[in-house]
Amino acid sequence: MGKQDKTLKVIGKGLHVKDAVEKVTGTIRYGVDYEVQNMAHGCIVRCPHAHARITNIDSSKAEALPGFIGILTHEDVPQNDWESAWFNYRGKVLDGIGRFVGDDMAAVAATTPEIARKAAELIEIEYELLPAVFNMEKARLPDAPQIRDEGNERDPYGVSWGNVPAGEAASDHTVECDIFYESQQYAPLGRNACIAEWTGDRVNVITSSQTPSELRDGIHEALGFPLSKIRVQALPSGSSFGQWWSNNFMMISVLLAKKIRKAVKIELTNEECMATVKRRHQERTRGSMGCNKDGELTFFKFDHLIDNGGYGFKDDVGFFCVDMWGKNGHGDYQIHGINTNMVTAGCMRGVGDCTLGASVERCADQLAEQVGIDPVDFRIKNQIVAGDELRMQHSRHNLKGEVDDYIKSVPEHLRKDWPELFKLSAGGTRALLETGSEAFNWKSRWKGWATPTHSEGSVRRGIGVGTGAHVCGVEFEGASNAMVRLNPDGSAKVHAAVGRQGAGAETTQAMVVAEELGLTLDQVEIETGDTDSCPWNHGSLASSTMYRTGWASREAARDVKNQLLAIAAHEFFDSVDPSELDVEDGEVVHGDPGKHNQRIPFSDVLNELRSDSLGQTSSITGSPRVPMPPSTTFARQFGAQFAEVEVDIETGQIKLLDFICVQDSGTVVNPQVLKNQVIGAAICGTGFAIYEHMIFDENTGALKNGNLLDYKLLRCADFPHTTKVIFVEDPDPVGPFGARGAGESPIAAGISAVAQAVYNATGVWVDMPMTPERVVTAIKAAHA
Amino acid sequence: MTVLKVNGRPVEISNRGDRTLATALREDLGLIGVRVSCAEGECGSCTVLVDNKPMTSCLMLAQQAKGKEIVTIEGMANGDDLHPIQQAFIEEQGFQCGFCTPGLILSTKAFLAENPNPTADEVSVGMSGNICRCGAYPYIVKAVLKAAELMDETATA
Amino acid sequence: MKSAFTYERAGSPAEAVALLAKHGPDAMIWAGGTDMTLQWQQEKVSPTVCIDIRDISELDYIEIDNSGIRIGAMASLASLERSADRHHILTMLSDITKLMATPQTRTLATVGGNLCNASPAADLSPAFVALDATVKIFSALGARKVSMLDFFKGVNKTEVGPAELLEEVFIPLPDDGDVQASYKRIDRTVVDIALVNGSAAVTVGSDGVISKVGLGLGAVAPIILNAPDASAALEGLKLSDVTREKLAKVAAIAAKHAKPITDVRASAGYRQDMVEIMLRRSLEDSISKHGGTL
Repeated sequence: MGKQDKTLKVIGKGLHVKDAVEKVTGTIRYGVDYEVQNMAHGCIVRCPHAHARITNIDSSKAEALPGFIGILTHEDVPQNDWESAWFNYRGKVLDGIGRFVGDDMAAVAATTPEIARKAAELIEIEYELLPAVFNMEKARLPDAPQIRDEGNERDPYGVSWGNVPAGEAASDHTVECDIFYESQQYAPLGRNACIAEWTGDRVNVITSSQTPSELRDGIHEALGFPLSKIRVQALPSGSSFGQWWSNNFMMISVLLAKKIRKAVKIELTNEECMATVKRRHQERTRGSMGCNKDGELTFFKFDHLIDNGGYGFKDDVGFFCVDMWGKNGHGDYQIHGINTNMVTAGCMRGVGDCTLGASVERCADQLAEQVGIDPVDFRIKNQIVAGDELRMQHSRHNLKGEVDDYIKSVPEHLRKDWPELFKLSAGGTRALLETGSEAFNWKSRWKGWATPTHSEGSVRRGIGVGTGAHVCGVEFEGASNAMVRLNPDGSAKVHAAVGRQGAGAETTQAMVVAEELGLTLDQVEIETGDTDSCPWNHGSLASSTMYRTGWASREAARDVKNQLLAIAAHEFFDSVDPSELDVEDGEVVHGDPGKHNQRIPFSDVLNELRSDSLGQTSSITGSPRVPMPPSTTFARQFGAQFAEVEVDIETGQIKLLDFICVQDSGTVVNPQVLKNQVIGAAICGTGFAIYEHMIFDENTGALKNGNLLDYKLLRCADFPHTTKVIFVEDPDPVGPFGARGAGESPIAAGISAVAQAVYNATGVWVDMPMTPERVVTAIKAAHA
Repeated sequence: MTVLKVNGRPVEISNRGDRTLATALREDLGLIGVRVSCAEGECGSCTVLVDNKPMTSCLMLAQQAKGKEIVTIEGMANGDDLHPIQQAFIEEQGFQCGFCTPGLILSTKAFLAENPNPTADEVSVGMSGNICRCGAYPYIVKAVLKAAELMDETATA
Repeated sequence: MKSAFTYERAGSPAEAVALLAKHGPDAMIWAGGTDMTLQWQQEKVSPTVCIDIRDISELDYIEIDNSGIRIGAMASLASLERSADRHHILTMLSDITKLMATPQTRTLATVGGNLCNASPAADLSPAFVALDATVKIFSALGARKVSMLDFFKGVNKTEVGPAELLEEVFIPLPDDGDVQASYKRIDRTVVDIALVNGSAAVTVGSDGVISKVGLGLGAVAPIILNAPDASAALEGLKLSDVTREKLAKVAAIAAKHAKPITDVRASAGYRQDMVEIMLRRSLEDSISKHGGTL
């Protein structure tokens, strides 16, 4: 890794995040806190029906309301489809058809939020009711009501390798599963709002978003006008987990502001955030898995359904359990994206990992039990390590072609340092499982499958282990770019359009640049939200921020450094080869102090630029100068988690007693940030495992628990405060300073750990969420 | 107009009956550190101190606070000098997105006033009135314990 | 659309009922106001006048004498929580308050407000019913007493009339022997509303005989239920003769009174099964507190 070997001064330090003081003093501004002068307030008119077409809109009563400003209907809206990242949304901003209860039908603007809300209530819409379908299995039937022009179901996304019948024939043990997963809700603390303000024919959009560039793209598609006229100023958000990327209410804000010729802010209520924006898919896995008598997996055969709701359009979800468990055997995974008259579903943290991944983990556990191997050993035996083949990418028939084209398009000399493609470049679960089982004292605590570690009265305790894997960002929608600017005083600014949803990117990206430039963190500032100054970036999704944007930030800093050293060599170091120079503590130094012992502050070098014959100005800007290798084909992150639970088998209540998270994200850039992110994922995953689920009205698909009283989020005392995070660092050959992605593998690992622990405590596998009632029902059914 | 005492100073808010304290603090006084998320007393983001007791300002009418002393997050630091609780939350990184943080800091202030030397388990229960959706809980517990330590030092110094 | 309302403060019970009489049926009482503010925001109630009674400090008390424990309607849940070491029944009630909402809500919410909200899933109510508590209701004509059981008339409906005010809860203590009580509920996270609950209060005389058994069943009907037949099955038994099996039978009899419904929190079937378990565990706990061995 060349210069990466030198002692790191910033990377690896648990530095305080850049916005820490703003956060503890309450001065940081989220979407809901922002306002612009003379703005109007908007409110969305929502569909009361599951599926309906507007036949008439009467706004006369609203118009009579003092303070009413204007209304936006589908007739005002360009009938262009726009897409959110990963097809999380695909459709028109408004098209006169409501596809779920709560769908956006129109929007009103008024002088105050209260009047806007009242005006929205006074809009009288007549509908032609259309047949609706809420169940994805029913939505697949030929005579099902069609929700979208494209049809309710598209070609399945498939991954297959080897020869499944041969794998089945070689199996000594086979298990089958049919598991349904309820929808998890982002339940975003902080909600969101969007302000749109037009200046002439340019629009400025201020909202909380993890994907500023994708949001600008979405507005471009929806309105059909140039990207150069759209400015997004993305703000920090509250918890997001994939909810606040580009959302239709942002498009509505833009069009409403245009219609009323006035800045407008639409602020969503908590219930709107929960019931009308997005959710994790409802999913169903049917399938089977087998292994031989030695516990080596022989085949995987899974058919998996994901319910996209009204506007989700995913059919190529990355399910990274396929990679993680794909060391042995033959596989065939078919994934079907289906639309229903339910609120849109899309990517939520660990998409697929938390569902299909949990199904595969459960099947693996059942096989391990049949063979008589403990779950840690079974995972070590069957999960990939560095150098193993990645099944997902090898067989992505719909995308592989593009990857191959991309690879071929990169000149040979730029590819020579790339890791071997389609094989895991670094890491794996083995070291995590070994380290974790030692820390958890697994071997002595393990009493056998379906055997409680402790029994007393109606209480049973059990332990469990789970694993998770995810990509570290993906390249297929474009390469994430970043720009670094070195100022005349030697301080630097990074421009990287990533999210500030609490994952610390505003700090860790700056740390990468600081390290590369030999600066302190304090000398590097960052702009993450402004698309007018930041180059296109995929944003913070698919665990890409540290890996792909971090790579770009580092390359941009490297470009700055190279320019700086070239000037310094010419002006201060007797025109030595710039490669003999380096940066250190804000100064340019010679690699061999014996030859040149002077230390030239960056500001002096930059000052030379003012009158220098190089003709540059007094700052340097840098961008990546080489193409990033297609990391989806080799980079993965891994998590392993260990849990002990206590189950009251009479009431079904589950208590978490002990938890350990082990994480492999390559080099740890900021341990404080990463620990927090890993524990947060474990808590969110555990919530999904035991409580969190959206309850829908079976006749209308409307959300019945769109509030935090009945949508249960774990609280402080619900999760062991003693939980430890342990890092296993296997540096990555491509990621910045060896770092990889982090946010999504740890959510999946905890889910399976808790599910397995409940099984070991009770002897029963319970479908998620394992609410008290479901636990009792499952125990009763098993004993019936 | 109604006069309240907020962060040590008398201030005026609208005398409308039908407004929550959270709304008055945010809209009349621009105290955006009073975070409102669920608006139903569940999440605790809007926690403020009323006569030193923690209350969810979304469930309290502004008029109910008339004549009371209110402390919001904006009243915690003394100029650039952070309150030890704020300092502790930074040191232990007891937050991720930061939305719940002001409410947690005010809950901590009331909690430590009553129990200055708590155990980790007591902190864990005491902080359960505030939801952190990002899941920083174990670090929140550490931050509160750290704050207890820092405040103890300040008191004995 | 949320209703617009004006705000008034009452300094005494007499003032409060006078204001109620003056403003008519759309005037509503805010004690701590946590339920009222929520229901107003959710447009479940549409007051035109809010009568804030927080200043009525004369109703903010918790007093104990030989006859029983008096809890003023304006005592906050937080002060009930902090009264734990004053009496073992208050210890038990304090433990209940710790289950109620968040610490931030408990500082504002009052015992009286909680009762007047009359939620079928309320936590204190089943314990008060089991303890055979009575309430005192104030009006311009004077005070009247109603048993806790009769106080609840339906979901969010109570015995308190349009120009009346809840004044006090009285928990009688036995002349002879002692009463021990317990409360159990099913919940999900540490802050939750009870999915179902049950409470038992068992009085044992100085002769070692169970003289009185009170039971309260919550979230299994529009109002809190008791179960006199189940109570009778245990009364008259010597403490030393009580067995787990006997308590299980008593709980099973009591659970027959339940008429639960299915909602987003739980199914009727689960509630039916769990109320029996909650009652059984409350009975076991009460017996254990008396020193009974099971």
